[in-house]
Amino acid sequence: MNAGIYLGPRKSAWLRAKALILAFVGISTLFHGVERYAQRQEVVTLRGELAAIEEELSRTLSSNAPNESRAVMWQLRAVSESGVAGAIPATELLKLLERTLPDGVALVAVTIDPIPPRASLTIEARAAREADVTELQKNVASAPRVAATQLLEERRAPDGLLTIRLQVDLIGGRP
Amino acid sequence: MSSFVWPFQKTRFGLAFSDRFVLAVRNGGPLQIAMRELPVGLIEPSSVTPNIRSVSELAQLAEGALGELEARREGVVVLLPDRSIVTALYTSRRGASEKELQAAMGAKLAFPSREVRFDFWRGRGGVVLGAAVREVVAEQYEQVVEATDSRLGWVDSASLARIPDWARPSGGSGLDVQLQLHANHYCLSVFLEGSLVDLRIKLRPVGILDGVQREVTRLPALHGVALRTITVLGEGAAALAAALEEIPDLGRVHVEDDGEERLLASALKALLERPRP
Repeated sequence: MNAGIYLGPRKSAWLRAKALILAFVGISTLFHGVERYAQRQEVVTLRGELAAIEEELSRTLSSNAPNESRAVMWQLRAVSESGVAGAIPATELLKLLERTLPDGVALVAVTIDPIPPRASLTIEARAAREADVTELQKNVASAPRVAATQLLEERRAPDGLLTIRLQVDLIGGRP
Repeated sequence: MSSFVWPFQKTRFGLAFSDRFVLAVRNGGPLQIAMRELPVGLIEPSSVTPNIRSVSELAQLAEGALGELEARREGVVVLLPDRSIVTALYTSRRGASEKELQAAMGAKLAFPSREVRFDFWRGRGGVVLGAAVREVVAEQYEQVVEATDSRLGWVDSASLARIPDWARPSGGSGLDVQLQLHANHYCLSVFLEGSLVDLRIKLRPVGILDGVQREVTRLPALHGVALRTITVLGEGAAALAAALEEIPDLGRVHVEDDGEERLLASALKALLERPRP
């Protein structure tokens, strides 16, 4: 039941349309804001996880490669802070690395190709023993969300350590 | 109800126009009223032709009344004179669309429908109360309000403003009659179990109540139901109520013989309590 008789000026069709447009823009802005907030929260969570992983990796990486460790940490930080987290959640990436890197394998670099439909990673690592490299390959291949792995390069450096480059194809656009 | 939900009710203001005066009302706290009498002929209520002889002169008087109440100029509600609008009552139009109602009412008007603002209040039992005001008429009053640097709120007509509040089940059988007596006309509204069943707005010579009395006396025969309550408001209410007491089997009679300005102030108060459209 309406409130009564109203004989005042009618709102024009343009004013009504304007109100609708404003409402639409307002809702979109609000939604965008909420989405951004969620993304920021994801990054904050990621940084926390990263700090924990950094500590863990520092303990597990070979003691003769501190500079490389720092370089990896820097790269992982770059991943977490550059917004790549939106394309490939870096938390997932870090978990993958944490689970698959055996003791005695030092991570040198991680390159991400997030372009769908198949995102891929290239992991560059150094190890003292052939067996560690084999274990890394096996771990990665059996990890969830990994579609395929391919050893791109394996060479022994003058310092005696093995350097490998491993391509990891992920299932779907987002691991 | 609104004060229960939102206890910090804003002070609001209203203006009522009649052919004799302009009235400003302040709501929120005790009701305050400021009135300015009008020169003869400044407002001549009509539903067909422009009503106001000089918008600027009327705006000055309205400004004076609003100024006396130190009115905030936002959402000022306005009561138009009854005779400036056309009213129609449809007793069984449940489900009728706005367009259908406009077509039905527009066909009876003395001017083209495209020049008219319509509005329809839907009551209980499929009752629809229609009101139409010609643009040229409404715009003049709006110009007066704008000239006082006020923004317009709700706009209604003097006697229709309280009908939605009265259209509530009273818990008894019989006709509940509301009579609003203005100086030169009266509005008779009849409710049966909260449903508006009859509405008449008619001219009357100043001080003459015979016609009104006759109308009320005929109501039981017309609707086949006895009179339950009669409320008489406005100028000469006490005299009319005394005459009505002679009607046999008449129920309760309530009288407020306050003069036309109090009648309009009460109607404005009802309007001020409504949310903005």
